[in-house]
Amino acid sequence: MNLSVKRINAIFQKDLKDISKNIFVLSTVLIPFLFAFLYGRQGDVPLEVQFLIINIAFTAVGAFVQSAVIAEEKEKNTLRGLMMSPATSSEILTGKSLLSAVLTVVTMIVCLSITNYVVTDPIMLLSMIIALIFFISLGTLVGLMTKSLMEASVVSVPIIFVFGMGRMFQELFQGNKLVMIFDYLPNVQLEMLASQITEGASFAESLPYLGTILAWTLISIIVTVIVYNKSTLDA
Amino acid sequence: MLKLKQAEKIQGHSKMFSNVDLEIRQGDCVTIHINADTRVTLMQLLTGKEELSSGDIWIDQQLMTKGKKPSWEKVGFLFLNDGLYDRLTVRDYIKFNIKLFGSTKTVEEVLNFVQLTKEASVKIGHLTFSKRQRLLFARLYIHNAPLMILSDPDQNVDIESKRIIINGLNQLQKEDHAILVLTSNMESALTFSNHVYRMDERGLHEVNESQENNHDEEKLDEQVDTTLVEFNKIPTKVNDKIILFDPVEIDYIESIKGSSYVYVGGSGYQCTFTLNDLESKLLSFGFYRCHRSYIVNLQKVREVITWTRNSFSLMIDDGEESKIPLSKNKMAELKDMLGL
Repeated sequence: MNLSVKRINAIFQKDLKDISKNIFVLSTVLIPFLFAFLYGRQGDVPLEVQFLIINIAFTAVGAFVQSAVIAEEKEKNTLRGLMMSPATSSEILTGKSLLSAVLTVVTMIVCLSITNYVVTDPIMLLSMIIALIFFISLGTLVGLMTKSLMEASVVSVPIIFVFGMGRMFQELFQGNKLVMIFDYLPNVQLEMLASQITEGASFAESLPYLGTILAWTLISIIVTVIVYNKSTLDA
Repeated sequence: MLKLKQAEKIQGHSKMFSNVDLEIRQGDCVTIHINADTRVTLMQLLTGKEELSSGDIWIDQQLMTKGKKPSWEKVGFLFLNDGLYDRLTVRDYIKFNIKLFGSTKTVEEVLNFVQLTKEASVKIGHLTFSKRQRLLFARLYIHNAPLMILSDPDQNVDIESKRIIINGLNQLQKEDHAILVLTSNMESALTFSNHVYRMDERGLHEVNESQENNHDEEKLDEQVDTTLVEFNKIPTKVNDKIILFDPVEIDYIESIKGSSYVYVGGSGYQCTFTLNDLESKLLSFGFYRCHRSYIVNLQKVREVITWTRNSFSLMIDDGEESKIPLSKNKMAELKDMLGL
């Protein structure tokens, strides 16, 4: 497979210009900022809150913007135009993911500098990058399965709740057996990994967490690619 | 570039088309007059979304089958409902496509081609429908595929845009592209190229002058005896009713598959007379045979549109701005009649 950087860049540039004029989508970037400001003023921010902000950035920016960008291409019948160009599926998917990925990273860096959290551990960094890929691919999947921007934003709301604030719900429904499932969500795994690392866990101990996140990512990429290839030319 | 061999498509219980043999080579521009449903199906066949019931479609040595997409380097499509990025400016959109397709054309060149130079910094969302259509056409120009397939490129566009699209297609044809235009409007079909076909369930029929003529003459023989009484009204049939029209009411008459249709106020009524018959009957009322398949009421002509040096249309003042084709040789005659 030969990726053309030129084509990926063309799609990225186009999206950048397009989204800079799209206030509706950009407004969700404010949510993690809001949380960062609220908690950042309290001085010492606990790890759970740091990861609440990180996961909200992943869902509200990464997954949501991605789903909005893809759903809009579908809604306006422009995705077909992209599919009918010499650009390959991987070029289109990479190009379309780049913008929300960059936006998420920038948001996260700004938010974490407000709340004074620095990621230094290489395994932590690696798992955050893998988690980013998971959320982007989740957003792509939502975008491909919905028909319009509005529909995509409606579907994104539960995703923000479950993947972004899953930990809060877990505390809310404590004692319920079903809540156990929440432990295996990639966002919860990410947070558990972080607390293990701060407690000085070894590489071998952090491997299961990393593996779970990786498994989520791979499954969601595979599903996304299948759905993309199935999505017909004139939806 | 494009080859259809004994193509047949049956959908449900009805035959959409059969026995279609067509080959489009580089430098050819072919238009097919086709009804809207069949057009949609044909586009799906060409993009690998549907499969023929029998026969083959080849796009540049590649046999089309269901689920197999054609090579986008070889073929470019213009769909009726293609989308644009409303928030981008025209210039940004063109730049994006040049990069996406790896084209060597410059932005100015493309803007000039579709005459949107003045609109370069306008947001696409603020463009009129016709200008949006031109921008989509620009995309096809940037794509620059050897085979171009257009679906109703001039539907609902203004006259200026239609002229730009016709001239653009002429230029592309000269640059050795193979072009196929599918349209459900006969007038468009006739103005876009000299290679016009009509496609229906029985197959592909070339719309050429001699064929229409033969039809007319055959019918003429049958009807000589029945039209003994001369009268000035034109009878038409709607279901079981016979409706009589005054010649002054009629806008124009069109011949489709050998039968004539009288158009009054935008709707067509089938007439039992042949076009030749009607021509001789109506000559004294200021009617004129502007094309082998058309008679026009000259009183109702609002405008003579010149698309290119040898392609013309007449715009009819019937409240819908219908357009009908005017043959090249008839143009000279008409000019004489008008005293130009």
